[in-house]
Amino acid sequence: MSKSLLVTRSNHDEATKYLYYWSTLVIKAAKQKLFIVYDLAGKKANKKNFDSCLKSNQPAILFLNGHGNATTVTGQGMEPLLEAGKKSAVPGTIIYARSCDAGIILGKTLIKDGAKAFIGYNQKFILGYDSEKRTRPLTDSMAKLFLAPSNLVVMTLIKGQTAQQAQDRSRQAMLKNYRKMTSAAASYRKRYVARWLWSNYKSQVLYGDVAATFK
Amino acid sequence: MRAGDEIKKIALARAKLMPENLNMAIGGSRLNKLAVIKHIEQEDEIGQTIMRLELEYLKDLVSGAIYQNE
Repeated sequence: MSKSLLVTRSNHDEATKYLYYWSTLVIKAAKQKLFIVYDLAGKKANKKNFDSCLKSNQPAILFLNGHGNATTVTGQGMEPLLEAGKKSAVPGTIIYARSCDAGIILGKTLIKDGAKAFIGYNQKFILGYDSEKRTRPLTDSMAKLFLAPSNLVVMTLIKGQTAQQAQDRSRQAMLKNYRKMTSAAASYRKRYVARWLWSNYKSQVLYGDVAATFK
Repeated sequence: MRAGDEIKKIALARAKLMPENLNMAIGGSRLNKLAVIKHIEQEDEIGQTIMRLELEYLKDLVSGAIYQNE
């Protein structure tokens, strides 16, 4: 399996727009680590491209950004990319799904389909963001509290560390942010959204081989 | 009063304190303060999710789960 990363990042509403832009930081880091990056961005995040890229390139890491539910993760325009019960070409892949609920059923199904490991959420993934920064997501310090820790999942994997280390580093970063957000020194806005981040912290799950790496 | 009514009251009271320039993205919805209040009042899927989130957070506060990793 090559040192490669497949990223899907739809961009059709405000939530996906934030994931779209914050994923660019992971893509940049992966390229610096000499990963081959297959970037299905915006309209390119469709089922046809996704299946084709999975089959022909067999990426070591799959980073999904988009809406989801217990059985599905979607791409542009809510088109399903991965669905439980529809066997996917994921053998040997480490998957991180930054989407709602996919850890309930889909994640376990993907492990049965041969994925090495799956990290995702068994509840809604919640993002707090500043309405005045929504045209410039990367400058939104509120969103950073949520998305920088989640980016750490793939940032850790591309360093050659294990799925468990990726999960732990990401959750530790969430916990650190949560502590800051609930401190007396934090602004009212940060204290208000802290419980949303706590929900993400609790619901981020890891299935499969905890010792899996991209190598 | 039923427990469900209590948590709805708590979630609504909390939603009314939400800062105006803050948005919540959850399950494909973009919610400002008014939208959060509306979903809770209607007790639709998003409203139920927000109420459950409040309830679980309160449980974690009471059980001390939040302080376990300090």
